[in-house]
Order: sequence, then structure tokens, then C-alpha cells
Amino acid sequence: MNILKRELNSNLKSLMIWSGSMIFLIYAGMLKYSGFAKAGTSVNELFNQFPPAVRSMFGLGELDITSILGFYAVFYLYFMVLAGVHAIMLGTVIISKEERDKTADFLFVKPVRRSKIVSSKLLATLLNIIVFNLVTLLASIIFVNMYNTGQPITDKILELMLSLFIIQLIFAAIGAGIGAVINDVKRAASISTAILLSTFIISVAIDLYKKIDFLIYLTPFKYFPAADIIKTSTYSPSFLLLSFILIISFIAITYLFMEKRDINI
Amino acid sequence: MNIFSQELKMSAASMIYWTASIVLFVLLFMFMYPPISKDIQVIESILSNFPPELRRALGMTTLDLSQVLGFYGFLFIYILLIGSVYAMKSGISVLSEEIRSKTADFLLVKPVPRTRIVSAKILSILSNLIVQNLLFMFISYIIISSYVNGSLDTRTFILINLSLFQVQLFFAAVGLFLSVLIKKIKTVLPVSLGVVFAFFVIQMINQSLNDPKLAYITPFAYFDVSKIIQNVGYDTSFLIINIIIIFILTALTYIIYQKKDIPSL
Repeated sequence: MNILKRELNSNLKSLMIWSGSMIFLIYAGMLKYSGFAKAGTSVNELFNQFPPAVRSMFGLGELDITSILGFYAVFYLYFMVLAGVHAIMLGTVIISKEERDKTADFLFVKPVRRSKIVSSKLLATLLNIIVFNLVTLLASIIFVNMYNTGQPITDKILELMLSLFIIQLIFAAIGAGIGAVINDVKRAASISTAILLSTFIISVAIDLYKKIDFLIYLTPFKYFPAADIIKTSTYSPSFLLLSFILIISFIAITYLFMEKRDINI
Repeated sequence: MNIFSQELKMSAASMIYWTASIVLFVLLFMFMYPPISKDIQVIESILSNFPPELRRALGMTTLDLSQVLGFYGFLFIYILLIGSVYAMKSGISVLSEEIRSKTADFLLVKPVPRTRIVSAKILSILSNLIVQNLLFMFISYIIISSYVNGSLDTRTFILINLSLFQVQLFFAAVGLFLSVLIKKIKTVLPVSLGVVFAFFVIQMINQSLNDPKLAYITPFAYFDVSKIIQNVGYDTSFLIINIIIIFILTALTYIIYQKKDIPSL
């Protein structure tokens, strides 16, 4: 319990900065939408004439970018990237920072099992992610409704946000796994950075060149495409399963490696 | 001089890794160029009939992806992204690393004025960035020219590549400034990734909305590749803004570091 409190405390500032930035981003985006929507009707007609191949190249699919939902979905792509950065770094650092802070010998000599320490840290990560998502969700609902003149889209935002949450869980688990396997926080953070950048770049490559879409399994950013969620209101079961497996295995790795880790003092 | 060479020694490996990753990125994406360019020629012919506002909204601007340089320009935003993360990371870590690795009281008691320390460290970043850019420009020139029929427009190519250096200087300066402003930065990469991606997302939004005011916020917009290709030159006002920002942030770094309280052991 103490470890959990301590972790929540030490991540509070970064969580506040992240939440603040998300609120600002959503606000700025929706503010822009109000201007964009006015000029939008003529653009919209042109959009609909697009051949499907072109539309999918822009990641639009069936989306109508001039509707507030389509506009929000374009934003959602960027949220995903930011959320990924937040989650993977949080997971990596929270697990591996004790040695850097020279607090490892303080923490690990306490009569607390290592597995319990890991559990507290993972729980703190989970809570941070939940807050991040709730803030993003609330800000989205509030600012979208402020500028929405048509149909309410709150249920769609909820669906999108749930997939954002799953993606964050995946990245946080990967981060924690790396933090546990790699002994040095600096190297762990570098590897996490490399993973995040690669997954992002792969998702760009897939957008650009459809023939390599078998790489889709490598990048969580592509597991739950916004256009599909909006259209069908469901998540692909195979990718849900894959996400679940990824999360569970990386958490298992975290426990396993922390249990046997040589602590550098 | 000692400080400078010590810094170079410590950062050489990381510079090589990051340069290699950008080169790898260009190499992989250029593999996709021949098949994509064929697809795109068809799409281009459709797109060229659309009004420029619409093309901008799609993030296509005036880049002709069926041309090698147009395609390279499209890739370049991601090269900028990776390069900026590296520059920002170098900027943040170079001064704050002494505090993290508890070597600050070793360095700062030496009979060397703090301004000299800052200069030596900034110089080391500068040389790393210059070497990185030269290496990258040289290798990517070889890669790109192997895809060109006829001769490559060298002037445009160099102008595009030089924008990497200038954006990197911006982020290095931001990093330096943040590292003296914030009392204690525990891990460098999460901060660098967060800041760079935030600017990146602003640029993505700016690209789809094309708001002239938004462009001033993010250095990624200062050097718009499509405009560089079109005009074979930079936008002078943005060029000057970038230099002024870099100058101010660097000056502030000197001033703040002069009086900064450095925690000792």
C-alpha cells in the first residue's frame, strides 16, 4: 500500500502535465473544427468522389472528415501516438528506476516480496493510465459537445476511448517488461523509445503501402482502426485476443525477471 | 577542451545508433518507392484535379509522391521526428547528466568558469549534430540517387536535408533550456519524446487545417518540404524566427546555469 502511494505521488506531476496537454490539444482541435466545419460543405462533396483506395491511403476509410466524428477520428490517431509515448515510458521507468535513484537497496530490503513490489508498481501504472483516459474522455465529450451541431457522438467517443485504453495497456506492459529485463534504466528507456518509434513508423508504412499489411500485427496503433470502430461499433476479436496475450505475457515477463533480477547497488 | 573531448567520447555511440536508425528508415521506405510510385501516378492524376485547399487538408500539400524527391519529402517529416528526438535528448542530457551521475561536484569544483563548461558541452552537441547530418546526407544521397532516372536535383536535396539540422538545433536548444530550468530531470527520454511528439502532433494538425497561426508554434512547420521543393529555398521569416528562438534559449541556458543550484552528494 505504501509503495503504491509512493508511486502515485512520484508520478503525479507528470500525470498532471500529460493530462493538461491532452485537454489543451482537444480544446484547440475542436476550436479549429468550428472554423473548419463552416468552410466544409463544398470540401465534403469532393471528398465523397474520392476513390476508396485514395481514402484509405489517408487513413480515412469511410470517414467524413468534415463531420465532427470524422474530424475527431483524425485527432484520435494522434492521441494514440501520444498515449503510446505516455504508457510505454511510464511502464519502463516505474519498474527500473529504483537502481538509478539509488533507492533499490532501500526498497528491496524491506520485508515485502518482490512480486508484491511489482504488483504495486503495475497497479500505480494502471491507475495513472485510467486517469489519463478519463481526462481525455471527459475533455473530448465536453469540447466535442461544445462545437457539435449535429447528432451527439458521445457513444462513439466512448468506444474510441476504450480502444485507446487497451492500446495504452499494451504499451505499458511492454514498457514494464523491458524495464524488468534490462537492468539499466537508461538503456531500457532507449529500447522502449526504439520500439515506440518503430511501431509508429510501421503504421505509417502500412498506410502508405497496403501490400505490407501483414506487418499490422507488429504495431498496436493499427489494432483498432478508428474508421472500423465508428462504422461497426465493435473491436476485431482476433486483435482483442492478441492484445490480451501481449499484455499478459509482458506482465508475466515483468514478474519473472524482477523475481530473479540482480540489483545493482 | 577536456570537457569537450570527454563529452564527445561519451556520446559518440549514441550518435552512431541514431544516425544508423535514420539511415535504416530511409533505406526501408525507399524499397517501397518503386511499387508505390506506380500506384501513385494513377492517384496523382486524379488528385491534381482537386483544389489546393483540399490537397492540403489531406496532408498531401503539393508533394508529388511519384517523384523521388517528393516521396523523400514525404518521408522527411518522420526523419525530422526521429532526428529531433535525438537532438532534444542530447540537449537535455548534456548538462543534467552531471547531476544524475553524481559527477557535478567533481566537474564544477574545477577551476573552469561555468560558461566555459556550458560552451564545451554545447559545442559537443553541435559537432555531433554536424557529423550526424553530414553522414546522413551523404548516405541518403547515395540511396536516393540510385532511384532517380537522370540527375537528382542536388540543390533541393541539400536544402531539404539542411532543414533537419536546423530543426535539430531548435530542439537541442529547447532541451538545454529545459534541463537548466527544471530542478531535477530524472529520465531524459520520456521528456524528450513527450515534447517532440507534442510539437509533431501540432504539425500534423496544422498540416490538415493549414492554419498560418498554428505554424508559428511548431518548428516542424518552419521548413515545409513541399515549399522547399517548389521554391528551391526557405521561407525567410520562419528561418529567422528559428534562429532567434535558438539564440534566446541558448542565452537563457547560459544565464540560468550560471546561478543554478547544483545538488551535491
